[in-house]
Amino acid sequence: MSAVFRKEFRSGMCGMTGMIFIAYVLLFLGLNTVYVNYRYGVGSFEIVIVSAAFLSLLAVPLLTMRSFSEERHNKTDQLLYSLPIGTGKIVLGKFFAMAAIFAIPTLVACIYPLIASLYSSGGINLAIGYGAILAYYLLGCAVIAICMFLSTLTESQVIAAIISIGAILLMYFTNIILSVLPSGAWVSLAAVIILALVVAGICFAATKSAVISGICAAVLVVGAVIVYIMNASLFEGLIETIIGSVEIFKPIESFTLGTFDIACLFRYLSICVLFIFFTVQSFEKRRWN
Amino acid sequence: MIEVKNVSKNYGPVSAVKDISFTVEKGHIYGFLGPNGAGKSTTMNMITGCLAATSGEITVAGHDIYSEAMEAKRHIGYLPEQPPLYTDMTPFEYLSFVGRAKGLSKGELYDQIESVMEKTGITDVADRLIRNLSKGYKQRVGIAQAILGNPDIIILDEPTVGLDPIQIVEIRQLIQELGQKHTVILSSHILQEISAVCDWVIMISKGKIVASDAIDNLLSGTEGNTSIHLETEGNADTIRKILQKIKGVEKLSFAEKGSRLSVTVSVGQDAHPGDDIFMALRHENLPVHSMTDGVSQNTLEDLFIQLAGESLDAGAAYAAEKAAKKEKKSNKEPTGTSPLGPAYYTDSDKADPSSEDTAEESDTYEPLFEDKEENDK
Repeated sequence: MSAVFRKEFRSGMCGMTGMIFIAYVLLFLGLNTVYVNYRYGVGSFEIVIVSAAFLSLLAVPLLTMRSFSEERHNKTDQLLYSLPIGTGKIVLGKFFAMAAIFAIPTLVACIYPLIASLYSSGGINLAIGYGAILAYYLLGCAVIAICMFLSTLTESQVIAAIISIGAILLMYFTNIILSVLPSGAWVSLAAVIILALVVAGICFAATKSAVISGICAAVLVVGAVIVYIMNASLFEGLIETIIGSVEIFKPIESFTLGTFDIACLFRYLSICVLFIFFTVQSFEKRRWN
Repeated sequence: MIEVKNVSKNYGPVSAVKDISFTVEKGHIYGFLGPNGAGKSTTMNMITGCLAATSGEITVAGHDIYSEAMEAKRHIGYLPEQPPLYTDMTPFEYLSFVGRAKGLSKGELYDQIESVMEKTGITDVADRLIRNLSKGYKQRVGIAQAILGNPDIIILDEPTVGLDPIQIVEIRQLIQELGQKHTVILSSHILQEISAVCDWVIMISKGKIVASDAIDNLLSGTEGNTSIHLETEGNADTIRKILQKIKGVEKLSFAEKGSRLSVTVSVGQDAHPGDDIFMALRHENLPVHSMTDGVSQNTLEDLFIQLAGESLDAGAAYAAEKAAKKEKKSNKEPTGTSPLGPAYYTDSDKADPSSEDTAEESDTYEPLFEDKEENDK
């Protein structure tokens, strides 16, 4: 794993993309620090982090877009498959290298609360500030894991970047999506049916069997309709729960209330683990196709 | 060293490799020979663990390539058809990465890198970015990564493609040197290369092994036809009539050389009609100025065409049967039976469609179709 980590970290830092990414993240963290802490005189660093999170992490696809798609495009994945390293170690090596590059601007940002506290009359709650920075770092790692997985789906870096940006936007704007959707149990039922069809579509893509995917779709749809007929109240608010679960920029906001939200940290860590697992599966799948 | 047992690989409905079995012994240079799209790269990818087989078993040095992948892969150095190079690195950095990934310790890493760079002649370009190197040097860097770590088996997939003649000779020399210490498997569709470098040949055609033996054994078992060359005088038709009556004479060809007539007589196996030919010509008072006979040994090319041809014939028979069934079923003009679609049929094909013609067409295009599959993969 260390060989892959060293190679990825080196190529990220020696190439333009790593540097541009670091500069971009630092720019948005710096701008928010200047505006929130100095211009408006707000004595809390967690607000800086929360307000900078979305825009600064929009640059993550720059870091992740080449991670697997470039390997596939240049056929260097054949080297990785033939080397005596497990797929899991390859994926972890790449993930940790990108997480290490992201750690550079985050570590630089750790100086900001200290500087701000020198000029703040009321003082800055450093524990919450650094807690927010930790949450921000884990949020960044979660976004890296998601985008890294997306880059295994295509051999085009551009397409990988576009779908990654799309995914980040979707995760950020879920509130707006929720607000335009009509509420009610039937909307949740419709959402569940659409979800069932998506699952059946994935099933068809994986098995190429119309019978299995058809049965899968029929069972899920009929099951949902039966449950709806028997107890429609179960579907109340279900769509909000489903869509809310992909809203990863929301939990970090709890830090602005002055709470050290451990649940939020665990949530980001579990997203990292889940998408690293998906990436391993997706990379391994190529060998079997 | 390597045992391949009943291995098949399907890409959806297309079968790239069909139930192949062979064994690779220590200390030989194996030539993996086959036309484009025959399944060479697919087989090599499966042996190296880059691709999983649909069915069958592959063991490398006693380790299964899937269940004991790490142990098996430690014995293999692989250069795929397209060298897997990180072009933003220098050869030294690249080899350092591969060496570390192969588990070389810090002490032996740099010694080994130095040694393989010397062997492959890339020491002078060690600090230049790989993207700026010529194709020949890139190929050498690819070979260097394959032999790094001193693996027992070195697998090279078409290592001389796209190189100039001097580079080809150099790479072949390098492979021969490697063959002294390692087991080398070399894939190629260039027959001269195989016969120049390898001592054992595995021939694959349309996803099936059609031959696997030492080159000498393969060629000694396939003697070419005996032919007799003679120079005489007279009319070609008359001589044809005289010679055709003799037992053992199969084919005649004539060429005029001034006032003389040069005749080449192809003779059937185990037949020796030389004396009869001479006596028949003398009987007709025709002079025989010279007469030579001998057994011509088949070249690897003859053998390859013969074996690959047999496989293609089998494919053609299958395609003919398939097309006939299809035609019977649909009872329509069979314009869409080619895998490449109706656009590949000429107007004359459409005007006079017969099931056999259609079958031949689809067979002709089938290797192209497989090529495409191989590339897609």
